[in-house]
Amino acid sequence: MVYQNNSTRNWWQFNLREFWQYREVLRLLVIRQIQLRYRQTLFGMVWVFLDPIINIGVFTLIFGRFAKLPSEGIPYPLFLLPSILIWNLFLQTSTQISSCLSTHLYLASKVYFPRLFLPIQAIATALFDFLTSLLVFVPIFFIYRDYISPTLGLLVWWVIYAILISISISLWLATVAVRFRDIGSLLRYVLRIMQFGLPVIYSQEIMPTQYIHLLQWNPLYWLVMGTRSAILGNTLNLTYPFWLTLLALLVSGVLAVFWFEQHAHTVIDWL
Amino acid sequence: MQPIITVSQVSKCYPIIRIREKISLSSIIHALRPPKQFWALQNISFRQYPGEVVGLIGANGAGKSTLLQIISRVTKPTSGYTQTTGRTAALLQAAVGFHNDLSGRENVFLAGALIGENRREMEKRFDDIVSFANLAEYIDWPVKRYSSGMRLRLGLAVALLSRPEILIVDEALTVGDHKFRVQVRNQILQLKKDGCSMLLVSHESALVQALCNRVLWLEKGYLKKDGLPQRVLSEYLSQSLNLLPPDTWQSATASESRTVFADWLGWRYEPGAKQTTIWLDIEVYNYSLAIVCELVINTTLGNPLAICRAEIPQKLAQHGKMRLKFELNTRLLAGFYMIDFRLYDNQQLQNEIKNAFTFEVPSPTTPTELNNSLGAVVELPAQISYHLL
Repeated sequence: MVYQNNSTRNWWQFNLREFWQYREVLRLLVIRQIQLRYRQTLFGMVWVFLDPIINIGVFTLIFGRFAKLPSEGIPYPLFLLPSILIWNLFLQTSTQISSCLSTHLYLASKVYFPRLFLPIQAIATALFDFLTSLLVFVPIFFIYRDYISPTLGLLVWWVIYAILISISISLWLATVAVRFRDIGSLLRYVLRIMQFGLPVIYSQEIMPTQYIHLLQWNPLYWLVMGTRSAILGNTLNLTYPFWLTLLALLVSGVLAVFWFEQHAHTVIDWL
Repeated sequence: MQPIITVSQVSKCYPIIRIREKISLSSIIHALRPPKQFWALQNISFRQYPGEVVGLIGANGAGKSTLLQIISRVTKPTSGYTQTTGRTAALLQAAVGFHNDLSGRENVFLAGALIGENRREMEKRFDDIVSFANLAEYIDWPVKRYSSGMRLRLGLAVALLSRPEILIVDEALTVGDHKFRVQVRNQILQLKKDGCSMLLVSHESALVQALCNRVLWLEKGYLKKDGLPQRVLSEYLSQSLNLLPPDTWQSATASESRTVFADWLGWRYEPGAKQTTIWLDIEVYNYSLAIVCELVINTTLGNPLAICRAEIPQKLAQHGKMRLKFELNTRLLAGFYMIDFRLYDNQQLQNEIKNAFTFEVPSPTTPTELNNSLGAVVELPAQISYHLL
């Protein structure tokens, strides 16, 4: 097997065969990452289920019971679930992708492996969390089964959409975050603000229409509204800002992958 | 024959990032500006063929580690390219990419996968690796609980026992306790026998000489010399340890020469395969008792190896200049040695010249002579008798 380390490799050239050769590394990275999060904890793997329950429980109690946020006539827990689950998926993928290189420098500064494994690992572990959370709430979906829309299968698309947004934003940041360590916290602040600025935990009914027009240029708005409509069946008009931003996301996502592949290998020079 | 490692016109430029203590607007602007550059490697080219063991020597900061990083693909060259043909195990900066929270066992499998060994093969080798590293009791501990020695032992064990075709080691061959070092040395010799190509960085010239077929000398990012170990090493050491050409008279400088009873004047040496001779001139005055001259023979690492001491009895010593001749009859084996001079008067150390000179005993030219592949330094004369049992 011949391995090259070439300064002049073209940015569009990918060594996909190498991905296959190193597949065992990816497998171990993903498994270990999932295992690690529950190591040295009191409840161990129970956290997989505990985490979403506490998360949703608190939101339901505070915003559903006390603040009585509008939920378009749907029981608040059910109204909250799709949007908060997809939001958490997005939050996790984007923060983990942005920090994937800087948290794995112990490896990246010592051995070679396809650096794209790191964002892939971040996505895989976030997906694992998302799926387990879904599993936890199967009983709730079952209780409220009359509300569930037959368009449930569209959820798959919105999951892909969430990952696409994360890649097209965070993968750019991953290489930069090694050099500037405050990138990660900046991203977290922005996302925290967005969580409350978008109709994640409340209905968009309470928002002025002008504001919603503006929000439509934010792909995250579509992510939240789309997931909600996939599960609960409320109407969703995909207006032209959705398609335009989707195009931009696709372009940005693809370029980010190339950028990452090109720059992740020299990032340790900046340490 | 196809080279197993090709390095072609590799240059590497690093950005220099300065850390500023004060935080101000200008420091933010400064952080965003393109930084200054430092060329760690300049136009390095060489080829290594299968089975070759190549040593990389040079002063600190010469670019040795950078070159290994590029060959093992941890970073990219700024220009040029490298090519390796085969599974590569690399131990860079005397460390391994171990995850602190993972157990030793998990790290072994991860490291094996990174080398390119498949899972089944690793499971077969796992027990060997653990017993080689002598960590059987600790293998399920998280690696963060390991001492630095334990980490390195495990890292070396994985690298040495996972059948790499290319082994790249950066100053990690001299870790661990004595027993482990012997194990490492034997395993390396075994790998060498099996035809594994190696690229080693070591500051231990004796080790380089014993293991390598070829030595590359890097200086300030340039490849200065590429050749047989003995030749390159002697040139390198002569520069860094001030190895003087044999058989020329060296004068002592004033600062090191004066004592209360004698002056060093100078010395000369003549190395040989059978015998090394050292001449020493001193000027004696004000002496009261016997004078004791001492030569300390050190290895290039500075470990004292032997002392030879000669006493000039009181009645023989005279005021004035005298020339002493030391004939070292014990055969020193091929390698490099550093000499310290000491002068005693009345059991008291009066004067010492540290590292007065370094000399080289050439390697054996005839095949009947002992091949010093063990890194031994002296051959002791012994008489063997036997009787039938």
